[in-house]
Parts: sequence; C-alpha cells; structure tokens
Amino acid sequence: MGGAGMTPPLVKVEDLHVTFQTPLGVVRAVRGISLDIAEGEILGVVGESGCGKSVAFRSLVGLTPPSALVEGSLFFEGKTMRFDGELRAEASMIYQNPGAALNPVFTIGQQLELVAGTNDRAELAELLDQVGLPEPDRSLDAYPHEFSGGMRQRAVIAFALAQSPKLLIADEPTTALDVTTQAQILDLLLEIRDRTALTVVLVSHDLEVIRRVCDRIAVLYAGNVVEVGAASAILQEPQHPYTRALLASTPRPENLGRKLASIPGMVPDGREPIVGCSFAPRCPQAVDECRVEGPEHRSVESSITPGVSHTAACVLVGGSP
Amino acid sequence: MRYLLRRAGTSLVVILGVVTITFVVSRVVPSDPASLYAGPRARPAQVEQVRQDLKLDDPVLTQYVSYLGDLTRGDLGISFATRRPILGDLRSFLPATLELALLATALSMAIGIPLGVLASSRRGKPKDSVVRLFAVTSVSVPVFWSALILQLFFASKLGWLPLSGRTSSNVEFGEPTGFFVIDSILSGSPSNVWDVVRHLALPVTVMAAYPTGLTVRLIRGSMLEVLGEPYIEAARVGQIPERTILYQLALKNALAPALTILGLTFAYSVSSAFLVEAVFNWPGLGKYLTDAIVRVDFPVITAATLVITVIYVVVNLALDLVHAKIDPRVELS
Repeated sequence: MGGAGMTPPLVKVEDLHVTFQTPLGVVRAVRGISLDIAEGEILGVVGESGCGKSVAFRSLVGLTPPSALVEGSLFFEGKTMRFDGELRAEASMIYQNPGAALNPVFTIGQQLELVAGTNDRAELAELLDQVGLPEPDRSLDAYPHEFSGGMRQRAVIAFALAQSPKLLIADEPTTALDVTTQAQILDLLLEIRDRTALTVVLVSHDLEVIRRVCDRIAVLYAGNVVEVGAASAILQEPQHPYTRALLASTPRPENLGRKLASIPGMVPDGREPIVGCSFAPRCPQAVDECRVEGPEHRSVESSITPGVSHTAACVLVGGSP
Repeated sequence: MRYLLRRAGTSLVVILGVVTITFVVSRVVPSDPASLYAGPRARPAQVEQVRQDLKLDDPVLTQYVSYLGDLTRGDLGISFATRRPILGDLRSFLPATLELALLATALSMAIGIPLGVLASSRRGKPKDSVVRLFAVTSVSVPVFWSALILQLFFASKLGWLPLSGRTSSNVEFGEPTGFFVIDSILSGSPSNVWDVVRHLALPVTVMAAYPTGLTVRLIRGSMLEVLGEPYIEAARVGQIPERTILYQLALKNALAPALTILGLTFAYSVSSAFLVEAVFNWPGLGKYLTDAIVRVDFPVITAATLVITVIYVVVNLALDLVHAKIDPRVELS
C-alpha cells in the first residue's frame, strides 16, 4: 500500500483548478489539486464542508455548472482527457441524495434499461441482485418513491455499475442515510471492489466512513491536498496540523467522556487570495514562514510500518523548518 | 373506481350549482321571454297565452324544479327565439366547436412541446431567443387580427384555402357524429375529407396560436427546472443520449405541471371560440351562444352554460387522471 508509485495510476490529476464566476466575485473552489488514483484502490477524500472536495471530483466527469472554469490536466490510463464529461465513458458516480438521483416518474427497470443498454429482464434483475436489492425482479417495476433510502442508494449503485465503469466516484454516498444503512452501503462498496477490482473515490466529510473502507486517504483543505497517503499512516501518524485537528474533532470510543476538539476559525473564503499555507490562520503551530510561502509536499516515513511513507504539505514535516 | 364515483359526485354538485345560478339569474334579469317567443308582432293576448303555455307565471321554485326534472331526462328545453329544441341545435353546433378546439389543442401541443424542449435545451442561445420571440408573438396577436390577415393572404390573395364555413357549398355527406373530419372519412370520399381539412386549416391555426405560445413558455419553464435536477445529471453521467434525456426522462417530469394549464386552455378555447367562429362564419357553439345572448334567449344561454361547465368538469377530471398516470407519486383520493 505504498500509494501509486510502481504501476502507472488509473487516474492522474495535475494542478486542477475550478473557478466560479459569481456576482459576488471570482470564487476559487479548487486551487491546484494534484493526485494519483491507483487501479483497484479505494481512495478516501476527506475535508470540511466547502473545501472543494465535491467540486473537484464532480469536475472530473464534467458535472460543473456552466459558470465554472476548470483548468488542469486529467489522465486516464495515461491518456489525456478533457473535463467536459469525456471520462464518463470510464467512470460513473453515486450521489449524496439517492432519492434525487433517481427519476421519480420512471420505474427502476425503465431507468436501468437506459444506462445498461439492454432490455433483457433477467440481466436487469441480475444487476439489482448484485447490489443486494431484495426481490430484484419485482424491484424492476417499482418506482423510486416506493424504496427506502438504503434501497434507493443500492439502485443508484446498480445504475452506476450497469455501465461497467473502471472508476466509481462516490460523492458523500452515505451522508443522507442512517448509521446501519451507511454500514451496509459501505460493505456493499467493499464487496463490489473485491469482486470487480473497481477503483473507488469516496468523498466524505465523515472520517469514520473513510476509516472503514479506504486504502488511501487524501485530506483536502481550501481546495488543495494537504496530506495524502496510506489510510493507516494518515490515521495513526497524521503529519499535517489540519489532519490532526480533523482527527481530534471526530468522536472515537477511546475519547468517551472527553470534550470533542473543534478547529477554531473557518475555511478560507474562496474569493480571498491565499498567501502562504492556507491553514496557517487556524493552525496552532504556525510559524512566520507559513504565512509567506505555500508549503511543498514532503514525504514522511512511517515509524510503525517501515517502508511506508506518505506526504504532507507542511513546513513542520520532516523535522524543523 | 371508487375515486371516479366520488369525483362524479362532486362534479354533479358543481354542475347543479352552475345550473342553479344561471337559472336564477335568467329569471331575475328584466326581460320578457314570452314576447320573444311570441314574436315581434304578437298581440298582448297572444303573449299572455304564451306566458301561460310556457308556465312562466309559475313560482320560480316550481319552474326550477320542473327544469331540473327536464334536465335529468336529457331535455334542455326549447329556444324561445327559434322554438327549436336546444338539444338538437347543440348536436350540430357543439361538435363544430369541439372539432376546432380539439384540433387546435392537438396542433398547439404538437408544435409547442418540441419547441419548448428545444428552447430549454438551448437556454440563452440564439435558437432559444427565436423560439421565445415566436411564443410571445403567438400569445399576443389578437385572434380577430390574425384571422383576418390569414384570410386576406391565404384565401383572398393566394386562393389556396376557402374563406369561411365548414365545407364548400357543393360538398355534402351524412353527419352521424357532427365531427366533419370523422363524418367525411365515413363518407368514403377523399375529396370530401380534403374539403373539410382545407376549411379547418385557417380557423384551427388561428385558434391554436395562443395555446401554442403558452405551451412553449410553460414547457420551457418546467423543463429548465427539471434539467437542473440531480437525476438529469445522473442520466448525463450515465451517458444516456441527450435526446432521450430531453424528450423522455426530462419531458415526462416537465409535462405534469404544464398539463393542468394546457387542459384548462382547451376548455377556455371552447368557451371563447366565438371570435374565431364569427370571423370564419363557423356554425359552432360560440356563434350559437352569442346569438342567444343578443336575443336574451335564456333557455339557450342556460343550456350552453351547462355544456361549457360540463366540459370544464370533464377536462379537469381527465387532467387529474392523466396526471396520476404520468406521476406515480400522485394518489387519486
């Protein structure tokens, strides 16, 4: 799990910028994300609301409003791709609100037929069976409003898989579900990955969700990656002060009875220019240097698992500045 | 089924209400139906005789009850002006108007829905602007003006289409339904059908103008709303062809809110057909009703009002059924 070093990555994103022209000014939602996604891995993308994680990954499949300007490079299996939805041939998505992602006036079967490109009932039912929908044949004739939230998300996953994608972008797929259903959906994603070697990007603000299923984690802050690497390394030996603060503010059984930490301040306004480290204004360890120059990613060797390393964009990483 | 019965019940209440109001109004308004019936040269004694024959001196309540009794037997009474049974008149006048209104509505949907979808898919682009200009024009041009212009151009100047009427004077066929398109087809003669279609062309076009523009605007508006829904995004990510997304996935969602207003436009075009019918000398309900209003021929006015009410009620019921058919979330209860 050394990241995407040896084999070429399935997806490579370089210097991705997403900028919105709004009446209130130019909002820079994504500010130079570079990221590799290895084939077959589940990459967790975590960050506070407003850090640009959804915007960044929706832009890969062309889901940005017309007012957005997307810049940067995107490679899929080494091939250059445009941001206009070209990647849709290889990638599909599941969404935060499965109820809204299903067309209310068509049956599950009618909708599945369109994405799957077949009207063979047995094949369609098989697709529903694979995502664990009970009574798949009858479910084909059901309308979305007749399903529970968890069943809807399973249907959305079936739609996504019906296109036999190599990459699945899951944008907060469990946020709208209750905790037991969340667990079922996450288990389903793991099971599908194991069965089909699907590559998954799991975007979530919930570290518990990320912890449960991800092989690698990318921590986003203010439209950029501040720390990325193997899940175990990031969760056990977080290097970036933001990652540490994020972990400290997540409820854990071992912290029972203790007051949860919160991070003072707010995510920087997308309209403001950022000088130096974007987290410096909220960082308890910030030094003068942080406010001058944006930090480079530096590699850290794990002290627990030798040979495993990950990177963090902080001047404090790897000894004193 | 239970739903239909209950709807029929409430519809009856609505119809009864309208009948009662028009009946009362017709008896309260100062006019003398007896002298209308008796004719302009009748002597006072004859008028008095008529008044007794028609039981116009009976208490209003008695007249009302006997009128309702007639209605339940399907008897709409007789015209005071022509002395003809109103039901027989309606048999020929109502289909003439319904034929116009149905064809105009069909035409307006056939043109308006695709144009509305097109405009919504090209929001802000030149095609959208052109379609919107067309829509605004067609809702704002007055019917009598467009009718006259079309008559002037296609009938008088080019001579392609007849000026007015439902058929040419030398064309005759049986009228079992009163809908000339159907009747002419039943007559088995293609030249009859062609004659009927040529006569329908201009009035239908004129009548369709307003609902067409309205349809474009309604469909464009509700399509724009639907196209912003996450399930449309999901369909795009799912690489479903844009045509399918627009005309199937999005349109079915956009249709329901637009349909209600479009259905009412149909009912409205039946009751407001008189302008078109006047210009095209079309023997329809509008002409029948305006003649009756001018003569204060109350039985006809009451009967025509009743018919229009029934049309509104039926259209409303049909719309609710169609709405439930389109949107599975709508429950009929």
